Amino acid sequence: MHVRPDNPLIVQGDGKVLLETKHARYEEVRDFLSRFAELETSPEHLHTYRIHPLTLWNAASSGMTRSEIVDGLREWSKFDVPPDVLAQVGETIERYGLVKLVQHPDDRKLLRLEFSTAYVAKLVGQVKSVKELLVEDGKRYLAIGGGHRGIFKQRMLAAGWPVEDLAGFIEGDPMPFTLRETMVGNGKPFTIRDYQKTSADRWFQDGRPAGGNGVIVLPCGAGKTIVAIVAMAKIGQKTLILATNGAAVNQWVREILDKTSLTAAQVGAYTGDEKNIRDVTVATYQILTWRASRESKFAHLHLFEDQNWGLIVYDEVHLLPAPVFGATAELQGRRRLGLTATLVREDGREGDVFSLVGPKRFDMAWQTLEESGFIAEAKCYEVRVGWKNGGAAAYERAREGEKFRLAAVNPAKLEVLDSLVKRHKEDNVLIIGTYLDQLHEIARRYNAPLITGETPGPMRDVLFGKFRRSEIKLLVVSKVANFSIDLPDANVAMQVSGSFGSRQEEAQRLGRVLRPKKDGAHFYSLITRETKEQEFAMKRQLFLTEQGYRYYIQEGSA
Amino acid sequence: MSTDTQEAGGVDGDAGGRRRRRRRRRRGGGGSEGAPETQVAAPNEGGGDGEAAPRGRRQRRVFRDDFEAQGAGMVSTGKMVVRPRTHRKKWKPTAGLARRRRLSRGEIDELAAYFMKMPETLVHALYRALGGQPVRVGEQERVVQLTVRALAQGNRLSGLLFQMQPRDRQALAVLIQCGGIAHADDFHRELVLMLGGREPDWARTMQVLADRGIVCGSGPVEDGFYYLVPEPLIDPLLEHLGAELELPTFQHEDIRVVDQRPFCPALDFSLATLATWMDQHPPKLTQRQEVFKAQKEDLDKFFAQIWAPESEVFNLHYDFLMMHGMIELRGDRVAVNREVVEEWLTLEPEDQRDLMFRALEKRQAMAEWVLWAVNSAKGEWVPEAPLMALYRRWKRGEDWRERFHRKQYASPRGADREAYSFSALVNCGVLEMGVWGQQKVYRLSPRGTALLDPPEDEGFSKFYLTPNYEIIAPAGLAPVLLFRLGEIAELIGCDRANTYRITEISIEQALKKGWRREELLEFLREYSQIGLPQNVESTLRAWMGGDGDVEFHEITAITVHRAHIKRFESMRALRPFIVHRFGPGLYAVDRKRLPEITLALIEAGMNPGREVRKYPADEEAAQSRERLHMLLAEAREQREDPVARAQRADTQPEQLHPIVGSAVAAQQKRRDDAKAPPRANTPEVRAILEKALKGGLGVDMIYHSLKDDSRRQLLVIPERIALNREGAAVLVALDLESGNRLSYAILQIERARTTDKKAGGGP
Repeated sequence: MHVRPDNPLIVQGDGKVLLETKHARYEEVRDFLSRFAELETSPEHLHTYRIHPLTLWNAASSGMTRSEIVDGLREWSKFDVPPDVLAQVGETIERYGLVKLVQHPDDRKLLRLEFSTAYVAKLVGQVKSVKELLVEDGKRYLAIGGGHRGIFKQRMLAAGWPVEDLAGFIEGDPMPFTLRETMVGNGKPFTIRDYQKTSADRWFQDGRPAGGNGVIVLPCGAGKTIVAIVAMAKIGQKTLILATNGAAVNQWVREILDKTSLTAAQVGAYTGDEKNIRDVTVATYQILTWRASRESKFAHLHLFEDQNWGLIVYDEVHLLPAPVFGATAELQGRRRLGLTATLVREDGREGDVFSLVGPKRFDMAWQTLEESGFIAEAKCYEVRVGWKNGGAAAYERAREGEKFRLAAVNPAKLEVLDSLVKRHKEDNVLIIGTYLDQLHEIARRYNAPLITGETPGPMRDVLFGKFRRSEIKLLVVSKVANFSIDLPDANVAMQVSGSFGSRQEEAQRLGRVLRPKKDGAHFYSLITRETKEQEFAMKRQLFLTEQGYRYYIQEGSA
Repeated sequence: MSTDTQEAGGVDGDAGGRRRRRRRRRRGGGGSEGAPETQVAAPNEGGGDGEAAPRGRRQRRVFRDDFEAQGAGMVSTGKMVVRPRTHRKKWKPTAGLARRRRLSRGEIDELAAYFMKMPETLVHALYRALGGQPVRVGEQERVVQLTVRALAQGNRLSGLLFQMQPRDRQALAVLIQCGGIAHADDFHRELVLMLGGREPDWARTMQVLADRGIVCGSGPVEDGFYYLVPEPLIDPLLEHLGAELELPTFQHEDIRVVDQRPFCPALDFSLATLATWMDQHPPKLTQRQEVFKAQKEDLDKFFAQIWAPESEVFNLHYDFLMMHGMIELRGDRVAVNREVVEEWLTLEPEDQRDLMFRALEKRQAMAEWVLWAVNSAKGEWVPEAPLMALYRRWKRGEDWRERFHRKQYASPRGADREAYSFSALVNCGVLEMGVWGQQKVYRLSPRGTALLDPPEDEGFSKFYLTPNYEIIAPAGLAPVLLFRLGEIAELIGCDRANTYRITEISIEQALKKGWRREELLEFLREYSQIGLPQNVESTLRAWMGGDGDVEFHEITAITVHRAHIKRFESMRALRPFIVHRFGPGLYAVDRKRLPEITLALIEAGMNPGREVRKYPADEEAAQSRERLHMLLAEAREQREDPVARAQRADTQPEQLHPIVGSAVAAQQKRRDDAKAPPRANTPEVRAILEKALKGGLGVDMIYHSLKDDSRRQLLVIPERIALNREGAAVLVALDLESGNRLSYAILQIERARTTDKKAGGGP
């Protein structure tokens, strides 16, 4: 076994690749790896990538060859690269392109399948899950219905046959516009960062049929909206954007008008409050999945068909609801762009996102952006608080199901919160929680405004606006503020309670304070010591440390 | 180049000068040696640039000129002063460094002692072969001295071998591969099998070797005899027979490696990892002492990078751990003896290797030597046939040795096995087998290479402890660190870098295994490349709590954490319990009062540990450790080169004989005859005896014993001539060797002469 300890990589037999981040040539190796491996975790000093068939096929689709990958791995690895991995790379990459999906020359409703050899055609024909989708077009070719494009690719992928999709996309109605050089809002020049440009390019693939769909993973505050705007500009066609809530919809509309030549007449919101279908339409997932009763049909799914969309953007794609999955499967003919900061689904359906929206096209460690100054340097603190006034006894007596809530709303947290608020009295502080009673009490205690799900949209906008302008220094919010709220000046977040161990929630809440700022950001999680809350906090801690954040544990004295 | 040559010449000149000084002193040169010393040294230095000016006439002329220039002439002894010049010429080395003595003083003495015990003819033959003239040297001691000196100069022996026919060298090489001992007839057949030819031809070849003094015989026994190489010659011969002894190699790009595993780490890595796994998931055994199927599947899955299911590699690991007491059966589960594992892991690499070889020996005899032989090919493929031939010779050598010691001189024809397999070593993963067409080839696997040549430092001294409680430990890390990591963290992956995860349960287990809070944190801090992340330290402290600040020890000792020593020692309530203070934090207490002490400590606000520590932790573990060392001692004993092992016992110098049919044998016979008393008929014998009786002299005689039909040379002191029962005349005499008074039939005395040994005097 040949050992080169000075190299930065350890390639494991299961396709996991460990990369030393303090290595002198880290950046070079990271850029190399990111082309064919997926970043799994990025704790300080050692990042973990994973080589999947999917990532290899993506690499192959972008023109990367087997020898390029193998030579690179051999060059950078501390140990000999496992032969299994080399074999996997070779076999997987060679499989790409054996099955191609092209437009049918005669029938626009069909997509023709092209096989590299008759043997491949025979093998594909034996895949049970795929067989039912295949039709013969009467010219000795196999084909699939245009509506089955997504599901066919998904099933083929599962069977180990990556399809090279050369069928292209349905061209939407044109929507010419340009990106502004100066932003309307603040008059500052509008510049696109390198990674934003790279991610849009990797998604677009110079307009080749292989591009035009996929997911971009960037941390909160890294400017995913801008990536989408650049993608829209590249396509120049009517666009449907799906966002998480009304506030996010408004934010999208604001950003598009701020940074593009599109006018208010061309950009419309489609929410519970207003239903405007324009060239660029921003809708919520909620409205799409609304139905009068469980037996009724989804009343607004027609939105996908109302216009000849050239691009559909899925904001926070990890939240894509199940009915939209179904609709998306039939939208495979249209270009699709997914945006997320945390491609983590608590239901484990990340794979479906990739299959239906498209593969991960770009990913960047949060730490890297932090070091580049594109997002704030964040410090995470877990403040452990004890019980007070018999709280521990009440906790012990409580039923299992109630224990988490009891620990989350531990009154002793308020005293610790006092000291934290005092410490950050000059900062823009968000206090985030899950339990409304607790939040009301906190709002009363500090005489601060509170935003919950019951707060009307316009009211929310007013309060967020005031917070952005620093007219309010302390804002108490429930989980409605978890996603897509751009609060550039917030630099301190205090989480008094959370939803069990939700990693996604933790990352999103942290994301609220990640807009770049001079003094960095602080994210406090108050948890009750030696309770279920601490157990769940451990999961969240693991997630954040895996993302590369500095995590400190402090003992808070009540 | 020229610089090197000059340096070599300088060294030679210096060493040569010292030797010459010694020679001259022995000759009684005394005070007149100052000038020649300078004279001799000068040309030697000049000889350093031999590449530019070849040695020979020109050089000799320069030498002569030097002497003449200094007015050399006749001295009182009548010998030419230039005489040293001829010696100088003879000694002149082909390369300066070759003249350096290779043996230490002790080795030279040992060698001399050996040759002193050897029959003179054999030493003479060897000396003659090395270029000496024994007839011109009077004393046997001096012959031995010169022979040793010649051997110490390696070029004399290499010259001898160089002059020999290739067949002779091949036969000698094969004999050495057999361990330096071979039954003559069987050996001829082995040579025929290997090199072709006819047995009588090979017999003649061996006689040639015998005439060179390199090969001896076991003695003139009619049934057959054994070829023996004198033990002190083995090492120098090995050195100079490199080409004949080395295994051929084979290369082809289409060689297919059979059953190659993706990851083949050093055994200590995989053993430490397996021990950790077994410690964390104690396997349950069936009644047939096999690991339960489901658990075995888990195990195989976990170690999939290292071995395939049902692989012999796992069995090797398991047997090794079991054999050395590192794991043992407790109830129906396998438990790990951590102390023994740690002990093993901290042994010297050579000792670890010896134990491993011993385990391999159980699977394949002489496994170690097979590995060394393959290793000599330096990573190249070794074809099966020559390797098998070599192995066969080792096996036959062993067999011949046993038969020699049992004094079986007859050859059991047809009992020899010709083919052997190395599949056991291949299955154990220390050898790799390649296939090219019908050809099988072997080389060491990375595991085998690491076993023979353990890398001292692979550049990994620390692991990665990341803030998400994961530890990544690369395979080059010290295995003892890996094992200790396994005590404090859950092993979740075995690969080029093992992955561990610190969990609350793993920390709880670590405390039970005797880790202390600060010790554990210090360990992580010290060996983590990036130190101990704050969140990990905080969490670990919370998990470990305050237990263990004060710990009870078996016998009567307690320890106090350094943070509490002051308080502990200042408390009056505790003082009565302290029988003795060994030092700060370590105290002896009355064992019977432990409950009282515990209560007092709690009342004083301290946190006494719940567990009582025992030393040694476990009697069984201590025994197992002892057993490990015993096995190690045995393994060390076994670790001996078969060639060397063969020699010491077999080639006792006194028992070496010339080979029948060789010139040396004939010479020996002549010598023996010359030494023996003259032949005499019965009246002459009687006259000699009477003369001896009268003069009180001893008698040296050859007596023919009818009992065993042997002839013995005896030295006796005659006492009287008498008649036996049959009326035959007998000599009653004292045998000086045995000290017995015996009677000898005069008719059976074949040779006799008087000696000056007086009656009553010793021989």
